[in-house]
Amino acid sequence: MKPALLLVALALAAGRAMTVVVEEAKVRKSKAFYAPAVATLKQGEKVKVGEAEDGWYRVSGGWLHQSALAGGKVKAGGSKWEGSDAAQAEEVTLAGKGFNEDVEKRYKGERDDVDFEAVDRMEARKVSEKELLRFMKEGQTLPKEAR
Amino acid sequence: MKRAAAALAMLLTLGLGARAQEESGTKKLFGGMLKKVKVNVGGKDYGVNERQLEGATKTVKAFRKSAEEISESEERFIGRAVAAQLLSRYKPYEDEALNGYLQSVLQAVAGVSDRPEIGGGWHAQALDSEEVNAFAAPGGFVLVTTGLLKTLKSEDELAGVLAHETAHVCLKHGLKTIKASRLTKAFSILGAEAAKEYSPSEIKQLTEVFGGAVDDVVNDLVVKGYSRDKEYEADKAGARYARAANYDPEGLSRSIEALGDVKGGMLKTHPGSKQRLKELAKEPGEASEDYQDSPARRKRFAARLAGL
Repeated sequence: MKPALLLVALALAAGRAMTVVVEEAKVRKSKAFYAPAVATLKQGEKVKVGEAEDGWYRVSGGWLHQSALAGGKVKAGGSKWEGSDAAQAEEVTLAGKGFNEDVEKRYKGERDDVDFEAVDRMEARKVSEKELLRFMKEGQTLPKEAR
Repeated sequence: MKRAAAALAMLLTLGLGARAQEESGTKKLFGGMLKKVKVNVGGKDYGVNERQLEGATKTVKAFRKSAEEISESEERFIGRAVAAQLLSRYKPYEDEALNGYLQSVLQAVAGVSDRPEIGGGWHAQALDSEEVNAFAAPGGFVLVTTGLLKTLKSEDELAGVLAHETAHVCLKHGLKTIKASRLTKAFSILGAEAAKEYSPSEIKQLTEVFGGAVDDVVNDLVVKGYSRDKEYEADKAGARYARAANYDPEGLSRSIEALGDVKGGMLKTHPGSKQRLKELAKEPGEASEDYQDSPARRKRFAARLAGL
């Protein structure tokens, strides 16, 4: 891309507001999932993004991974979340439409071959950032720069 | 003519594929020179003018059409229901030390995947079954049988297996097995207006579509299996994730090798081990600079799986 075009692209990207689509997303100090979190964003929040690098957008205070955002483009091989359609789909479901709790509740009532309690227990399972860092350090998989 | 255009608009609105081809020559319509185009709907050609086609296309944009446009939170609810069926069929293996260990390895691998951030987060669970199998439900639910865990010899192999499942989720393989007709129906009920309230009959229909979609995914996971191409794709992406997480790049290959002699379960739904290894070898990857063999990793793997 020509430098002039690149500047235009950057200018367009700068300040673009995107919507957080995951329940909770961390803004991190650097472009790594194990980097310290500097802020937590909730589903539906709008966030202004700047340039993208290695799948991460620069946002106020740090970096946010594109997979947390509607319209975030996932790199080659990953799933596609481009354009306004995806953002619109999120808007519709964030407004309480689509496949949601109400649909699940009704579905659950109609089936006897489902175990949602086990799913709730599974969803409650989470290794905290601190524990995960310790786990990676112990198993010697934490990158040298982060040790 | 009007009917053909209306049919076209409707089909386009519902997201069904329609091909438009430009025809040579123009025809005067509505007092202006408008190019006439030939549109193929359901194998039949219709003549429409550009303005009609433009209108129809605009309508299409207002609606969701494909698995790619299932929203993040909808994906989570589909995944929850798929996992609920798997957990009813296989029963959870209740060993919190083991499940916590699987969860740690999964988070370490998913953190460097294409979707580190996902709906309600990544979650791992062991299933109490001698069948050798592993499943990934949309939305980040990864389930592994104790039968499969017993075939593994190291955390690096386990990371390979979990990375393969992570890749299925990142690539939305589960969602892509949902029949297009179901999505078309769901999306037409929902429409595009966030403010629209739906009626009891609409929510009933929506639940039916939801159940059908969940069954489509479960059927592919448990009975039919994904296509070979999807498995090879998940192997390649999974190997990439495991390498990026600083695990042994050969971990996944070794776990596949270990499956070589196993009958049933995973082998019903996956291509043969030899073929998978052959495909995987086409994209060899170097170990990450930060990769190192670790006695601590071997020790904790043995300790966590000792109870099986």
